[in-house]
Amino acid sequence: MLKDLQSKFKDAVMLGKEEPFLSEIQEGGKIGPEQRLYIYVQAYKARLVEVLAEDFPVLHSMVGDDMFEEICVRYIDKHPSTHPSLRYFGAHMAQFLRSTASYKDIIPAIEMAEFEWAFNDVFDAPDEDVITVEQVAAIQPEAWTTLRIKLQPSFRIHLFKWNTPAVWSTVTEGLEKPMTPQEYPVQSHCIQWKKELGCYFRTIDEDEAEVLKLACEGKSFPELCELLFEAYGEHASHRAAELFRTWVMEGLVSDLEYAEF
Amino acid sequence: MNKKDKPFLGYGLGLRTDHYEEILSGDPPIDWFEILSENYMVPGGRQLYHLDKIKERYPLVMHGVSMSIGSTDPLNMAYLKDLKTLAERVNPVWVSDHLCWTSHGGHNTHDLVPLPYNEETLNHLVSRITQVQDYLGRQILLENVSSYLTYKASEVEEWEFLKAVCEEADCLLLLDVNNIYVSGFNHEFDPKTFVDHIPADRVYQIHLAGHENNGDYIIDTHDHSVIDEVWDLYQYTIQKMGKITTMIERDDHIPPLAELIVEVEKAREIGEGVC
Repeated sequence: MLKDLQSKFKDAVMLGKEEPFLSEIQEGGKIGPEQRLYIYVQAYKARLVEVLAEDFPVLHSMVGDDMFEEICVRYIDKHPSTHPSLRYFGAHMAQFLRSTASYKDIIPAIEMAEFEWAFNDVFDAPDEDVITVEQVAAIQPEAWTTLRIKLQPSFRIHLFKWNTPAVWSTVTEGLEKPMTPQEYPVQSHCIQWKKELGCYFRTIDEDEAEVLKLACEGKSFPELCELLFEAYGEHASHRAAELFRTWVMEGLVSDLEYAEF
Repeated sequence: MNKKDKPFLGYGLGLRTDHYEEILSGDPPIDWFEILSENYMVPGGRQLYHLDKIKERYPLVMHGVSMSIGSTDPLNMAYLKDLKTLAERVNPVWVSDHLCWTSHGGHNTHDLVPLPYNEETLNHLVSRITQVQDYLGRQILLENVSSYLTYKASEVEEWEFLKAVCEEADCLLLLDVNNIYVSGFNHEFDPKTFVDHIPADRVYQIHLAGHENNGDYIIDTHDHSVIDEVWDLYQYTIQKMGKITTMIERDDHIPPLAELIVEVEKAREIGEGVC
């Protein structure tokens, strides 16, 4: 039965249960059934480790070859690929590290896995036109009261306890002595997004993070100003406008929506 | 596609990200490109941007690795939907995948695992290929894979099986000449016997690639130049079958474009010189 055969192959390659499948292999030739199966077993592991190494190069450099190999092997066992494309294989890495006893306390590694994986999603996110400064200048005064800012699909926001983005930068730039992971005095937000064909990120202040989260929830511009009022008082709308202008210039805003009267 | 209208695209190359800029900034003497379908089945980004640019200038064909046509899992309709969407965007001359299985029980091996060549497999394949062709609204090409094992359950030779599959399912063939050589070495058959039994009218495309010889066995790595024995087998193939759309396939240790163009030109020289 074909189904039975495929099941035995899968068990041999993914679970190491080789005996049932070995008996299905035709003998003969220069190499025996064990070596013939071994070619597939090795290729399976090597291919997936290679994909993870491509997706998590900085995590790899942080933990070293031996630990990265160990992480990969355990990840492959825990999360066999369920998507036809290898592009999505590493999607569970941060969660895997967070939920595995041996790794759950290595916070810089978990954060780096999250940060590196997000680049994949940012990179492949749908492409949308972005709002220009001229379009913002054309907003009628009365329209600001119902304005909703739509961020482009590639936008991601993270909360990090460690200096993860800075470490990523120095390792990726190939500096001889990259920055070592250090815990922030207070945790900090970082945003990622795509502009044209490039991926960008920057760490942001707490008030900007809170306003961006509200914008993602579809809150109106006056509601964003209201959030800023506690810290900025009468200057809240000025701060909101300043943030909005920055986002537009950075290519973060893909649409402006207004409530219908 | 009708067999009587079998297109000839000339001599092409597998499109790889390393060569995007060079292809778009120059005018390399390559007649057409083959894209790896899964690399472009994404919502957006640089890959699709370059694809759209290149498709304006070159004929494209789509080549997938994850259809898993021989799997006993249900057909992955989400995958086929994405494939069809990509085909609508690319408008390829044809769409191909491999005669193998890659997934079982919802898990992907991401390997091109051979099938046992018997009646059960044939019936299974014919049913699934028919469903896929109906869904995509086109005939598909299926490629012979390199293999490192054969099954006790096989009842016929691979070439007899391929012939039966394409005739009963009314699909087309992508003949990988390197894979014939690799499997011939690994299973000790004469590659020319394989070629002799393939119905030429079904072969729409040829792959040429390099491999890694480990002494007792060969691994199909696609990371080397095409070896002389494979060039000879290619020449033998087109002497038997006539001129066929041909390309160089390189997946690892990607060299500069100029180095691959030398191989494309060699294929052209053989293809045009023989026929």
